[in-house]
Amino acid sequence: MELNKEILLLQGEIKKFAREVIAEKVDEFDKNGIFPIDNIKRLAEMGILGATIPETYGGCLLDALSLMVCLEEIGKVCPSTALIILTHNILFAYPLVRFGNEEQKKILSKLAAGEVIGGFAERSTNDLRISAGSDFYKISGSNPILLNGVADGPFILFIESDNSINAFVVDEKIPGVIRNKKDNIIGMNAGGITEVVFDNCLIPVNNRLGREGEGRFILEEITNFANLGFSAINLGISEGAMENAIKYAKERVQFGEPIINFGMVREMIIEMRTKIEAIRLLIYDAARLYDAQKDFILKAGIARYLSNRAAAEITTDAIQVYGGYGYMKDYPVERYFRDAQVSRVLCSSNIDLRELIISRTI
Amino acid sequence: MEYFLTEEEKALKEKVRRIAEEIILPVRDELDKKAEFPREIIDRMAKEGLLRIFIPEEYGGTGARIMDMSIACEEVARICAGVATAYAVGALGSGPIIYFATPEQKKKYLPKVASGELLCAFGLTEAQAGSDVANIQTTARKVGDYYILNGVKQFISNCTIADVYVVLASTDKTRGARGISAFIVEKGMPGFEFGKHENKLGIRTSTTTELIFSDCRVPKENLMGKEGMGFIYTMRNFDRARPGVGAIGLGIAQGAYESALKFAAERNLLGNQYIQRKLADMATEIEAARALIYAAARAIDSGIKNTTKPASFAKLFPSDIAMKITLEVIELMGPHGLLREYNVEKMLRDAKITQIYEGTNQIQRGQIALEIIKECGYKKE
Ligand SMILES: Cc1cc2nc3c(=O)[nH]c(=O)nc-3n(C[C@H](O)[C@H](O)[C@H](O)COP(=O)(O)OP(=O)(O)OC[C@H]3O[C@@H](n4cnc5c(N)ncnc54)[C@H](O)[C@@H]3O)c2cc1C
Repeated sequence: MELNKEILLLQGEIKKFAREVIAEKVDEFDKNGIFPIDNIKRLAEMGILGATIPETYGGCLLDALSLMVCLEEIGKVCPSTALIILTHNILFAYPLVRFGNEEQKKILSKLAAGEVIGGFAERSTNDLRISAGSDFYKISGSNPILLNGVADGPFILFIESDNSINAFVVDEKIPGVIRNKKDNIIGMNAGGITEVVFDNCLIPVNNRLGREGEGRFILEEITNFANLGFSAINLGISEGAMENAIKYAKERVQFGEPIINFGMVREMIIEMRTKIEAIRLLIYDAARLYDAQKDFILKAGIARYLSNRAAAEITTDAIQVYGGYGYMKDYPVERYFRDAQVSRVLCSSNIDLRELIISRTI
Repeated sequence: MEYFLTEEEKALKEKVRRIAEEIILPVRDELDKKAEFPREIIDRMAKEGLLRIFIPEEYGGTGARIMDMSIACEEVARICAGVATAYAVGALGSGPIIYFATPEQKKKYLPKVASGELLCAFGLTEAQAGSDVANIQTTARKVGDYYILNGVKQFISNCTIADVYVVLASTDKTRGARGISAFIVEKGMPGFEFGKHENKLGIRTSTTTELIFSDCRVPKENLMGKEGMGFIYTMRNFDRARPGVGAIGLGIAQGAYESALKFAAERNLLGNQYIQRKLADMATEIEAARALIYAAARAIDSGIKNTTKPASFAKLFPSDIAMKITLEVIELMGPHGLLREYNVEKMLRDAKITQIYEGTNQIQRGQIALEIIKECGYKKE
């Protein structure tokens, strides 16, 4: 599937930036859990932080295919950075653009400029006690996974009560929101994930996105787009891992020859390449449907389902190609392996994905 | 499933499970974080008699049965594969002494290994000699009453905490694999030092370090068995020890599966057929792995001559299902599975090593294939 000139140009630019700038500190940031704020600012200058924001709100709206290509290229080098970009664009800015009121949308220009970085509280790990008042929701509890938590920006939180789901924008004006960096997550160490604690937090009804009870629909809309985005990160991770595995297998000599000569090593690479080509086609196909405003949901779900597995299998085998060296933090494949775990489970559960695929298939 | 274990084996299984839950469970997360191995853990295990199972009765052990080792390794790994590695490597290191050392060497070391006073390690791998074992560059030159060792070993488990290191070095480079000899090197011998400590994805509590030999003088009494036999000893030792690695994989799989089952029960997911399918597959694979390990262990313990194939079977399949199951468990638990507090992310990180050490799974497949070809009287080329 050929990309058009415009996208190829963007891809080249992002690829160059990823390999020349992001790559430089990727291991250091992973090791020390450092949020790559300078790189994010540079990506903002390139327009990437406004990828889901229309120009009227200060963004530079990209088509979905372009955004996926960006996530793929960044994910090949630094999956954490790709996760930050995905969260900001797809999990925060996108629902604001679609469902926010004019007041809520005021922040969009700052988001596009990278002055504010949007976050998202993973819904499945919410552990909240909620009581609804007339003007406020009072919530206590915590969530161990707040994406882009360290950036201290506003984030989206889903609150479920009495069979209704509502999406809220939690911003800095709301007291009692505490973020703790805990380093308790297997991967995406540079992705700025924190725990968030709500200490008798009062969230004004005005902070709700959309109408009362519209949260379920908003959640679905976000998830469908996110399935596409996470697939692109899965793809990037898979390609990054494969690239390294190939390079290593050509250099490493055992039994007097490069290990790339051994059929069992070649077979691992063959599996990688095959899965990568298949998921890339699926992702690009779904993204094109999205851009043509056609039904992309099933295709995005399938892309996610397949790429979740592919990323897990490919990163596991990439370590295998490196042998004992792959198990050490001195080599990049162990990082891809850990990051893949995060990328393959956030936002949609595997049960959700199965339901989505089967309900649209039968 | 019922495996018709003997009363002693059942008692061993229960005992190791209890000890692992009592002394390892409370500290496993801390150990993983700190990436340190406290010798006290092995000391506690020794006090309970768990190190005796690797040693023959005449030297104060309980019989050195692979079955016992498999049972014990599974139970320790069910709680922590890092500790299980340190434990199993103790057996990997003492194995060659049991089978190939001189009577004096056996008397000198084995009773103390059985009591836990001495812990063993096994130093084979080098930067350029991983799968290609015969390519080792470390040399041992005989000068008077000593062998002078020079070279660097890497990725050696139990380094620094072990007292006795079985080390492979070349005494005659012109003879390749037939020129490799095994030595018993003690911690503190002059010219023997530890190098780089590895920072690993998993089994972080198990230490992995370089051994550096610079004109290290090893008394000639410490040559194990005969010169030039080191490679053969190594292969035979692996042919006995590999079910232990399989058992570590099995223990990891068992631990992860139990976590998944509990998670699914607590969240009312057990009625869901997607979940049922996963759990059923996991349980089936675990029993298949256990049956394979037990069958291999019994075959080896019965004294069959060629143990290569059963030993490789018992390493290959359980380690592959450990990887598969831990990956499935992450999928089943979703984002919760990513969090340290659920421990399955540790099991996933730990599982990966079982496909790599003591011969990668590609090497196992190659060995199995060779045995099959030989058995049928065919030729490779
Ligand atoms: C945590 C850890 C602990 C360890 N502990 C010890 C220890 O206590 N003592 C010790 O001596 N060693 C130890 N090792 C070393 C371990 O046994 C080796 O890492 C392993 O044998 C693989 O060697 P390698 O790392 O050099 O990989 P390589 O041999 O370079 O293998 C790289 C890839 O090539 C494949 N390959 C190589 N040759 C072939 C072939 N002929 N056909 C098909 N595929 C092939 C491998 O399967 C692998 O996928 C340890 C390693 C680790 C990571």
